[in-house]
Amino acid sequence: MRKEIERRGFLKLSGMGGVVLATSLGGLVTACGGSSGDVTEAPPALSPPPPPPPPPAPSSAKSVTAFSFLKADNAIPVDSAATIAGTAIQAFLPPGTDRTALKAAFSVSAGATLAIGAAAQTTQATPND
Amino acid sequence: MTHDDKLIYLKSYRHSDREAGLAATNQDLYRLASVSKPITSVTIMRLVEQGKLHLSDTVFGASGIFVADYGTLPYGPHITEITIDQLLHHIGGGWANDANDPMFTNPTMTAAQLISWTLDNRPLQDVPGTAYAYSNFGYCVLGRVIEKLTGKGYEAAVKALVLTPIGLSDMTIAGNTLADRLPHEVKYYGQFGEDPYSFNIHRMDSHGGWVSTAKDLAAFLVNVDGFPDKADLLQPVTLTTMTTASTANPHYACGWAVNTADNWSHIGSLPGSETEIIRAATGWNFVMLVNTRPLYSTYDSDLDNVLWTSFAQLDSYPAYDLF
Repeated sequence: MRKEIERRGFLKLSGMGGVVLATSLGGLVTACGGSSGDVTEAPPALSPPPPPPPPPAPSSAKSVTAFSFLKADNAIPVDSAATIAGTAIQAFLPPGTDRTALKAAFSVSAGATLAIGAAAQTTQATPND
Repeated sequence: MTHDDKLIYLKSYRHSDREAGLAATNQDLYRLASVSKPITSVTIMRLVEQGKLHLSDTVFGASGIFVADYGTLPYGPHITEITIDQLLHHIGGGWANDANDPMFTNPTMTAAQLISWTLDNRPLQDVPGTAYAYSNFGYCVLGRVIEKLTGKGYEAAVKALVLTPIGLSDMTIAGNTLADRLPHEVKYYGQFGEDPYSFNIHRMDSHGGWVSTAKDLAAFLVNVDGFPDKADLLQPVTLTTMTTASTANPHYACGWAVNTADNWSHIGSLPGSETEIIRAATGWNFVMLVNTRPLYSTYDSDLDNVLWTSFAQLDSYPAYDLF
C-alpha cells in the first residue's frame, strides 16, 4: 500500500502498489451438474466406472471488494470507507491521524488472499505504516 | 469545513500560546470579533419567530421597545424612527464604525451608560433606512433589545434561545484582559503595536464579544444554513428574511454579508484576532479563526482568497462526519 500525500490537508491514502492479490482453490465450491433429485438407473455390474468429473475451473477473481479504516481498530474519531476505482483505493483520514500503524478493514474476492509484498494481511488486524 | 452539514475537516495550526510553547488544538477558544453579529441576528430572529418582536418595531421613544430607558428625551432628529430591521442591516442612520465609533469610546461605561451617552451626544448622520453605515453600536443596542424582551442577560438569552437548543455549551463572552483568559482560550498577539487586551470586549458582547471553538462555530452554521441535511433552528421564511439585503446596501443582510451567488458570510477583526465564516450556496460552510492580525488592508481578502483558492482545487472529499 502506497502512502500518499496530505492533499490540501486531507490525508488521502491511495494506490495498489505492492498489494498482491492471489486466488486460491481452498474452499472454492464449483457446481458439477445434476442434482440430488435426479433419477438414474444402476449401471450393469461389469461396466467400467464412469470417468471422474473434470476439476473445477479456478476463479480468476482477485479484487479488493471493500476497504475502510474503522475507529474500532484505530485511534481515529470516525469510520472512513475508501472508494475503490479499478486498481486505485482512496481513503480520507482526519488531520492529525497517526499513520504509522493503521489497520485496514477489507474484504476480497471469494478465495482470494491479500498480501503486501510477502506479508499476508489480515483484515482489522495487520498494522501498516 | 462542513459539507452537506457534516464536519469533514477540522485542523489547528501553529500556536495557541507561543511563549508557553503550546500548539493550537481543536479545543481552543478564539474571540470571534464581529462574527458575533450573525449570532445576535439569529437570536433576534428566534424572538421574531416566537412572536415577541417584529422587525418593524421601533427601538427608542414612547412607542419604542425601550421607551425612555436610555438617554434624555426628547431625542435628536429621527432617533425614534429607528427599527430593529434597520439596526440589523446597519441602516439605522449613524453611529458608524469609523474613528468616532461609540463602542470604542468611554471604555469604563457600561453598555447602558454608553447607549445613553451616545443618544445624548452623537446625532444621526442620515435618515434611518436611507444609508448603510456598518455600526457596532447598532448591534450593541440589539443586544439590549434581547435582554429587554427575555428578561435575561444577553449571554444567557443567546444560550437559551440559540446555543443550548443546538447542543453548544462552550461558547461564551470573552473577558478583556490576559488575566481574564478562559480555560482553553488562545492567547492573542497584536502586531505593529496593537494591544489585544486594551478593549472592553465584554461590553462588546452582541457585536464582537463571543469566543468559540471552530467546531462549535461550524455547528452553529449548520443549524442556520438552510441546507436540507440537518434541520435548521429557524424556519425557511425566517432564513430568507435574515439573508435579504437592504436596498441601501445589496451586499449586507441581517448580520450577514450576502452576494448574488447566495453565499452568506461575515468577517471579524480586532487587534489580535481575525475571523471569517462562510455559508456557500453549494452546500459548504467554512470557519477560520486566527489569534493575530497584521495591519495591512488586504488581510481580510487574503485570508478569504486562501480558502477559495484551495477549495477550487478540491476534487474529492470525505464522507465522514467529525461532529
